[in-house]
Amino acid sequence: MRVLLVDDEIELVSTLAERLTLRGFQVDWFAAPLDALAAVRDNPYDVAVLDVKIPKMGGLELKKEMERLQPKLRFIFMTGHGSLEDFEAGVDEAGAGFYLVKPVNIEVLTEKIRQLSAEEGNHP
Amino acid sequence: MTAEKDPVAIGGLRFFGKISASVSHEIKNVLAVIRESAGLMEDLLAMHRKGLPLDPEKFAKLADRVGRQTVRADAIVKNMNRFAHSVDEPVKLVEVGELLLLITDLGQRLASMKGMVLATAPPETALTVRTSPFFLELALWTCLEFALGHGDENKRITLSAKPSGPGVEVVLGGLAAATDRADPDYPAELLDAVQGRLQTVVQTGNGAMTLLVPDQQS
Repeated sequence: MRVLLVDDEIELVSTLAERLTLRGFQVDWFAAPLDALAAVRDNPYDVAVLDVKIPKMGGLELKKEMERLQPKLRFIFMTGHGSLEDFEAGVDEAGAGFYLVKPVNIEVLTEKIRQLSAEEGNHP
Repeated sequence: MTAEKDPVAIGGLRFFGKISASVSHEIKNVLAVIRESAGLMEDLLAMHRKGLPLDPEKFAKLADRVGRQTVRADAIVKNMNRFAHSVDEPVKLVEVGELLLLITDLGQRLASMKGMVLATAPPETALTVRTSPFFLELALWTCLEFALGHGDENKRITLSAKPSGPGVEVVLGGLAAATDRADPDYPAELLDAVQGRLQTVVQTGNGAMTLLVPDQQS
């Protein structure tokens, strides 16, 4: 399963990527949304795990751009739960089941990724 | 005027709320890095128990990361503490260079979210003024929020200060040249109200916002 991680906290996203890699996923991580978009343009992914608050382009906007490039890509959002407004916007956009509050539990994240990847017709 | 209708009371509370939210977000990020670093150490130890070799360098890097993140958290909490104490006294002697550094630190995340760079050019010598620290921070923050939405092509807002008569002049540079008070985003109501409390004059134009802050002893 190929996973894309995006968060502007480099030490967080790189460590999460390493932990997911140890659990058998093929992971690419990015701190900048435009770099992540370029990767989605060039590579097929099963699941994208996005921070809600990413500088320059929010996670929800990034999701829309990525969906244009890969309509079957599935998403999980991570948030610091900074505001109720952000949280509700994220739930509306992503679905409450795919929304994790930081710090995320790696086993819950792993399970969510497997669950989304296994959904019918999800493989590009 | 009741507190519900006082722009300074409303703006001041919002300002406090924004800073608190931003600081808590920053601390949460630090905690998340520490938690994932500890988690990665646990993962590596679990693999070692199954017979895979352990890399001491990897552990040293992770320990260093945790150490650096605690230093980062300490700086964030110190800034929050300084900010919280700015309401202790209505008027006091304020070291302007330190206050600019504080506002710059507190505004870094906001700047980053907008794709902007925020920098301070502290005065060469200590520059003090007797004023309300909280209202000065509120005025500066209000100007900063506006400035970050109206930067020039360099996307860099710089805070600086210099003596001006018996007071100081604080300048936010790096705005688009055409930006002025007529801009629809200009926070006129709040800035006008804060100016009244601080006896300060805010000027906008020629790519900058300037706050003339008088010494309230004079």
